Amino acid sequence: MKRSNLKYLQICFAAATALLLAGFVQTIFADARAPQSGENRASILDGLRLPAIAFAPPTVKREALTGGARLYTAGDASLPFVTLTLYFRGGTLTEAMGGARTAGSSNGPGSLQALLALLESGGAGTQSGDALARELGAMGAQLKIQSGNEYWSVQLVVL
Amino acid sequence: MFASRLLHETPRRLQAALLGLAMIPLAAGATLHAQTPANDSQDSSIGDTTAGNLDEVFTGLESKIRRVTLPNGLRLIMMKQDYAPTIACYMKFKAGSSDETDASSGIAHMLEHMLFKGTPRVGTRDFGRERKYLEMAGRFAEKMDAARRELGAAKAAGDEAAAKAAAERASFYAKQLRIIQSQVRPLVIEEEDSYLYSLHGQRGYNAYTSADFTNYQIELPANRLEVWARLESDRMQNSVLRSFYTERNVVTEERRMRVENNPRRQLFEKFIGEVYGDHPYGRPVIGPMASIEFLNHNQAFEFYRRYYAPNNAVIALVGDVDFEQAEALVRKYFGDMQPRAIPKTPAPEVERRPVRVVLRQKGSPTLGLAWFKPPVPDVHDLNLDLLSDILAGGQETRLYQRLVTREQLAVNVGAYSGYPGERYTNLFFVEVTPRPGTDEATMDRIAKIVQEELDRVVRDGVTAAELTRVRNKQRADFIYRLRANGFVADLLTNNEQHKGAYRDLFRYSQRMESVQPADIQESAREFLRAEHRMTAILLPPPPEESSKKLEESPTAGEQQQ
Repeated sequence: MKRSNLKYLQICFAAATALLLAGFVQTIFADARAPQSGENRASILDGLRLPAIAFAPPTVKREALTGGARLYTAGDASLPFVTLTLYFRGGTLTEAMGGARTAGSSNGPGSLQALLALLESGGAGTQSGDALARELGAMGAQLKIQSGNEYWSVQLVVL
Repeated sequence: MFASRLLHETPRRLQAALLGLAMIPLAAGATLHAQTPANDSQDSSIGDTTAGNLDEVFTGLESKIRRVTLPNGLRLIMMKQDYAPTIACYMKFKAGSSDETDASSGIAHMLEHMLFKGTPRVGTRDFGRERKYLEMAGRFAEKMDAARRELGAAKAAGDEAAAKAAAERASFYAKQLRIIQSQVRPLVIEEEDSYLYSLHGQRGYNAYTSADFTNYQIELPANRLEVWARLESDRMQNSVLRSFYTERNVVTEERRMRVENNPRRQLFEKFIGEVYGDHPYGRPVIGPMASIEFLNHNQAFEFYRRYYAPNNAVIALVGDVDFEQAEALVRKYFGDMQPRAIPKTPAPEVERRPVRVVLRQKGSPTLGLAWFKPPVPDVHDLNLDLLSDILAGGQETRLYQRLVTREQLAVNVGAYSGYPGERYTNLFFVEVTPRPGTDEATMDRIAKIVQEELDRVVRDGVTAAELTRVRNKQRADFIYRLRANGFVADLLTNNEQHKGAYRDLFRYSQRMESVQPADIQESAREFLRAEHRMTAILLPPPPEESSKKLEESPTAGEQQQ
């Protein structure tokens, strides 16, 4: 076989291999959930003319209370209930790192959860926890106490 | 009712926690004071704060609704709530596990999975080429399943030669099926529906199947309603159920995860099977493993053609919806569908008889107690729904105080009225989570205490304060959740399908107001008798049995009974 023919065959073989590999790669990724990049195919949603969306965000009023707390209020009279949420900067990230809580430590691991449990069941003012829960339950109010990494909150939803 | 009615019709991802949702969460670090029970004639100082003026609220809500029935029977309920420029779109078919047969148990749920697999226009690069592969896959799967059946029969008969031959055939056809599946793969665009909806800002794209219904749901920006109409009308008419046999494996895995590996779910599945027997409610929604493994494309397609008809569906669009435009869209995309005769599923009368199911498996001990009761709209259903909250809807309630606080036999207790569905006679259900280490005798003692409390209701009734508390709680919980468009859409379609009238949703408050303590007492007397009580118990295996089994096999302890 002539040297030039051999080279020609080598080129053909390399090209065929590249095409096969490309096809193989395409097959592997063909089940991706999105249509392939550059894929030109008709979509069931072709031809839709969607109207513009109109939305005016609610007006939020910000005030500073004398104690330093910031108060945000937004009015909405469409349903007869009020949601009051108190956010406190804090959260589990503010708890001291380390193993078991040491005596006298006020912010060791678990201290936030202990505080939240106390808030939830420890009552308020002269009322015991059970009495408060009963009273809130009787009026259909919901009290939620939650925490995240950087905050904890107390939320009251009431008619 | 408003919240508890949802418990048996929760989205697919929540179904695993079905009965668990009825439980009261035990507050972290809750103090267990010995308290005077709330039912001891304590008059609430609050009183019925929510009754009168809320009637106007509910009337106002009704006025924000338009209901339309298309000539083909499709019902459309639209509700205007313009807090945000979004719309919740719910489509509910009266097609659930109670419409199946024993041979097709699990097909309603399987079909729900399959309807996310596309149509000739969604999920494929070339349906013309794909179709022949789908047909071939169906033929090989049929032969594979036939061989698997023969294998099972041969094994049962102890015929080793026949079993070997059947196993070889099953293996051969399974390989052929895999080859076809790999060949068709390049033609398939998986989850294209989800991708398209995501391009348009979807939230909560999901579905769920219950004993009574199958529901498809999504929330979209308000100006994308036509995206929903185009995709859902296509799904409702043209689904091709592609990748059926791959998805069948997904569903068997789902069952392994949710049921086989969950002793509590196993207990209640077995219990409901015993309680209902041949009744449509006796079948688990997901289906038994033996049935799922042999479900086929034809069964799914037949169920689809039978029940996914416009006259068997209700659509709710709730949110920033323009009634005229939305109705025009629904007429344009769904109006041409042809109605079909929907077969009614006959249900035999339930048999009131003693049932006691004891499952011994590792896991937290659980006690379930159940009594048959009538479904909505029977007046006893409403009375018993209120009673379930009086008994266990909070920490100040009768059962919680008795079992958790005073006698300290349990860590939690919940009560729920209306399981497993609302189409037929259903159950009043009490579930107790006893303290760890509880034995069967203590389980019986707890069951006796629950019955004592029910007998006390029969003897002395409930107090006005208890009834007021529950009414206030239910009304308030309902109002709070009305901001969630999806919640409202789900309830509207539920009420329309169950009662044929979405309006009942807003009249529940008035109906609740008319209930008197004596009505609840009468319903308890009629339906919650000791002789009609049915019991489900989950306990750990006895220690000697566990150790013996462990010696025999490292995994043997998982399936003891």
